[in-house]
Amino acid sequence: MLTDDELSALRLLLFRRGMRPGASLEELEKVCTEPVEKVLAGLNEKVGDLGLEIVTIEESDEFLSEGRRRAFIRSKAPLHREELKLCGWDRRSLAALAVAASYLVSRGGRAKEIELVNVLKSKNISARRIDRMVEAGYLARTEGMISLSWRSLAEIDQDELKRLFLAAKPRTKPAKEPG
Amino acid sequence: MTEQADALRRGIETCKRALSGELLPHQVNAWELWRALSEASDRLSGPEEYLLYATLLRLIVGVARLQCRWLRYEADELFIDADMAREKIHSLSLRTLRSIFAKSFHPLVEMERMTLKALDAGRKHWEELSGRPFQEFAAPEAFATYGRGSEVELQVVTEVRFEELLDEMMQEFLSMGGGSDLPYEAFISKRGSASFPEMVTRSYLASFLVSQRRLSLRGEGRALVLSGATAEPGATQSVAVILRQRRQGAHADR
Repeated sequence: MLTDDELSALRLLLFRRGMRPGASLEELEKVCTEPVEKVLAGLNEKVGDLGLEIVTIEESDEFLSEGRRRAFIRSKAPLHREELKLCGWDRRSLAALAVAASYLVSRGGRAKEIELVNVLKSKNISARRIDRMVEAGYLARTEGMISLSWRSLAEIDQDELKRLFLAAKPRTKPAKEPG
Repeated sequence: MTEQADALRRGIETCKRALSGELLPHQVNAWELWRALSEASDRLSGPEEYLLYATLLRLIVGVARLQCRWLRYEADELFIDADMAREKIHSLSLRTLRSIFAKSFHPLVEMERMTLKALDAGRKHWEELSGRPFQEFAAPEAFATYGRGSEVELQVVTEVRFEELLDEMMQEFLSMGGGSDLPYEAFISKRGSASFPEMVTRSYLASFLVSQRRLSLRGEGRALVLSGATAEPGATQSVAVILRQRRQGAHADR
């Protein structure tokens, strides 16, 4: 059973504010009578049974401030290909995000926009996809630079992506048999 | 313009170049800038120099933070050089990139409305995945779809008295804020006192009041604000398609 604090926190985490789900720890503190960390730990255990987990990220688009910490609920395990389709991801959008995320993650989270545009173009992906990813909160754009934004930080396991990216090997075409 | 102000400005420019990515973080000599700042601290005169001093101080902190991150990033065993990253992406097929990305992708969970089509697709997927039938109460056949105006034909509002609920809610809005603007969240959650099911019901009813133009909804920063609309009630209305679960068993609504 969820405690009152956990229920309040769950509501805040699931409902969107504008386009953003999740809640900042300050907001959660306002509705919880117990320490937020304790409430989130308890809730995390309970939503874990549903295959979900709570993650917190530091919300900061620049390097000048510490930023606020924001908590989200996300799927504990990556989704199957079929599930991704059902969640509304078409192949092209997923490919664009995969290329952009792989490049930015391997560059430490930020790179010049023109570099990313060139990388996308090399894979025949339109640079306009960047605008859509910025709107969706996956990327942030500041003065010619593109960086991973709040949604990417919450949804992408960066270490795992880097590991897989480094380990991936290009598929080689089988050599034609003579004759 | 004093020499000191010039030095501070030069420091600010250097920091900005590093923060915008024009310079790599380790190309900035933060200690040198810090020394210039310390020397200037005793001889500041006038508000402009104080402003430059504070700006440079803030930017040096930013650069130091960036250098710290950069150091950690370069020391990482998974560090990838830019050319290597580009080359790797170039050599991998989109299919491979999609596949490795999907393995590290954990989508966020957020409240979303669902269409019948998506629900049906989800049901089929569930059945394939689990080999078990979807729970009967959640099957699309158990839902009735209706739009505004068709409630009577479908006989789903005889007990609910939909219009009355809307009127009650409108009255509540007027009494809560005296007709002035109210934050959307505060209204649907009754300033935090509403239970979760009640909040869902209230947000659902509020969406009808907005579509009827009795209330208007606008964004202010990150918040949504409800206000009384000036349009006459009953003016052009959008058609909302909503789902209503038909009650089963002892609570049958038949």
